[in-house]
Amino acid sequence: MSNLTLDALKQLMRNCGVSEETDLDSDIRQVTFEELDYDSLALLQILAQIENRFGLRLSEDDLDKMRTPEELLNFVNGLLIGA
Amino acid sequence: MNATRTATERSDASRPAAGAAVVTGIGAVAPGGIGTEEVWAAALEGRMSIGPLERLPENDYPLRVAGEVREFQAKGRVPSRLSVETDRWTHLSLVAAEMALADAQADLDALPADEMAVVTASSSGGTEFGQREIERLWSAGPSHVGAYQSIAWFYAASTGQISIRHGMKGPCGVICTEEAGGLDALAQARRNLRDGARLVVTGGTDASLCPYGVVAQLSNGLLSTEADPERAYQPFSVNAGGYVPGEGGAMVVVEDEHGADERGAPRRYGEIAGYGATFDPPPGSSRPPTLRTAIEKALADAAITAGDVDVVFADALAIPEADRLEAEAIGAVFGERGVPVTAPKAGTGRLYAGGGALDVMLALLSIRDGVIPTTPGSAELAADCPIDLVRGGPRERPVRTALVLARGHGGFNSALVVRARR
Repeated sequence: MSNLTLDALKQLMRNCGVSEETDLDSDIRQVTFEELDYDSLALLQILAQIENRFGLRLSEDDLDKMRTPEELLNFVNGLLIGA
Repeated sequence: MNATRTATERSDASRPAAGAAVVTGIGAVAPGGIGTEEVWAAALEGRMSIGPLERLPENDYPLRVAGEVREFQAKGRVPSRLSVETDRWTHLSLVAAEMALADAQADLDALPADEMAVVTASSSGGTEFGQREIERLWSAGPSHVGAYQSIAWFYAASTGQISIRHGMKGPCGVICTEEAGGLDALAQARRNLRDGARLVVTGGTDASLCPYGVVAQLSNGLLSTEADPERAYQPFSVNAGGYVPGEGGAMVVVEDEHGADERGAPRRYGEIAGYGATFDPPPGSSRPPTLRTAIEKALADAAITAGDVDVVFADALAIPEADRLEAEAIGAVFGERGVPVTAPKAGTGRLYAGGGALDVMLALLSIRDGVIPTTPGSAELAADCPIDLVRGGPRERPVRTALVLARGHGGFNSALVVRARR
């Protein structure tokens, strides 16, 4: 199974809308979701899409390990490799 | 004096007693236009803004026409992050509220957050959003239901999003009394001002023209099945055969007059001068319905008599029995053909929670411009509705005081008096 790319994640973020102050085409890898104006509900929405696409189950505790896009990609792709 | 005084201390110590509740800003998105002046122009023209129901992908329902705001799209008007979290009815609220605040020219940063309140009316909540998520539930499973369903469908969503967007942390609420809600919300806003709020964003919108919303509305048995937009909604006439639903509504900014003076608010459209609300006896009761009492309470609350009222904006359900009862109540208070009565909603459909708010806006603009908007439609008046219905064109005359009536399905009656402020 393929892994989750940054571009694919950006598309999932775009599905939740993009704040006027946020440029998703810039280097966002280490910018927190909060700073990008994606709150916890938006993150749940993004994670639900990832769960459905990759058949994963994530817990709410996992949210703390995914504060930035880079952390999210590392965490999710780590699970996919392990799976 | 310490800068961190509480709202209570401020209202007790350094503020005069609450003055009149004045409307300082108006915004509207309704069939006929986006923006106050567009909506007003359509009403004065008597434009028929009811048309074929196009918001349904397929229409197998016994409802052929509606008052749609076809040109309205959230894109470009509502920030995209906010737009995906909210239903169309909230988009309409957000845009109308923004217009009203711009019109009021209020510097929100200069006002204490806990003295700004939001009260909206909602009749259906986020049905279109909810239907989409419910479809995902049964077609794909629970994990496909979006997280935003939790905040988008429920009645208080518009109030909450307006509150968050504009940093209004005073008393906030939502009122669900179907078509009466728009008036009830404004009355609640006046209470908030009396309790120490300085500025309230209030009014109502609705947008329930999706299959789920339409089916829910059909259950009351009062919708018109007529396919000709010109003939579908003809209140008080011999052709009255049900009403047409619409979407949209209006939002206003209401302020304590002292506060409005203090900040130099540029406009006073009028004051919310009186309000009365009643609830009808159950169907089959021997007791009479109570719209008349609501009218009398509103006039008494405004400390005026029937002779002071220049125009009545009617509820105008277009069900013969309901029209007769409304004409009777108006006649009992004002005398037969004793006051001009108008129903601009015959051109937009009933907007539910948006309807009362829109009528209040039109009443305030009647005061501003000295003209009563017309009731679209040309059918003969029903013999048992002996009212002076304004039709065939607007009626120019000075308007100082207007009475707005609304009845919500299930027994709600509300009457609101707005009056010119000099």
